[in-house]
Amino acid sequence: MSIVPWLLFALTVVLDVFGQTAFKLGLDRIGDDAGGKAFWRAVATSPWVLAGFLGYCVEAVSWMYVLGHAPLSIVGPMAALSYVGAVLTGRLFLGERPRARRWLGAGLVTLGAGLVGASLG
Amino acid sequence: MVEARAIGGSGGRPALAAAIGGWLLFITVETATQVAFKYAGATLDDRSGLGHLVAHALATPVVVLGFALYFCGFLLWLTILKTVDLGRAFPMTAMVYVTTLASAVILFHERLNATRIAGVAVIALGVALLASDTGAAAPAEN
Repeated sequence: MSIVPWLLFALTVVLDVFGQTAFKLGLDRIGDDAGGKAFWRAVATSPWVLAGFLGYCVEAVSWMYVLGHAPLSIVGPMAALSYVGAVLTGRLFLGERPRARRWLGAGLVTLGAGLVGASLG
Repeated sequence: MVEARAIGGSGGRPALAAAIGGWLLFITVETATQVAFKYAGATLDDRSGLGHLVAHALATPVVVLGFALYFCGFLLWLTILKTVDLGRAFPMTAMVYVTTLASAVILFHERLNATRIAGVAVIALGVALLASDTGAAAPAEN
């Protein structure tokens, strides 16, 4: 595996975490009161949701390239690194307060992703 | 209050059933998306660049199917995120990695070695820890 698929894999993970965080920021601003059509109208006009959606579009193309150049059993599990990113952005931007257990889980996911990457040999 | 919202409001058991049904549907759609994308990517020439990829993508039915599934997953995910904290909802998608790994072996005949299986097990353990930290998160101060 050359360097380009790995770089695009990193881009895919970063865009995924950005999208998740942007969706949550957008939805938090819509609130629980909006239901039905009002909710979807608010979703469609939310700058955060639209930014996340654009990120998703780029991510989809990047991910397809990665899948075309790497085994699914390598990059599929390694995509769990998005969880680690979501814990970090939840802490940094969403006011979430992860406990020790969640940080430990994030550490294990990182370790496991390293093992899976190393298994390519 | 946060706990009640996490299972989809104050509706009790029907709301929980709807949440689980939505989650199963989400896992199915996400797995199908990965399989469609892998089929699409697997047809590419190894030396093809990003430009070729985009041109190829627009002309291939399985790619269009992949994007359609991707969009369905996106809408499903928005409805889930509407009621569940990101730090909690995201790890619940862990099952996608199990079903995707099974797809890699069954559909694409990829071979697993001991290191890879150990790595996936460690990832799964980490995700289980993440997912079980439900006490979480004081709500944002705003």
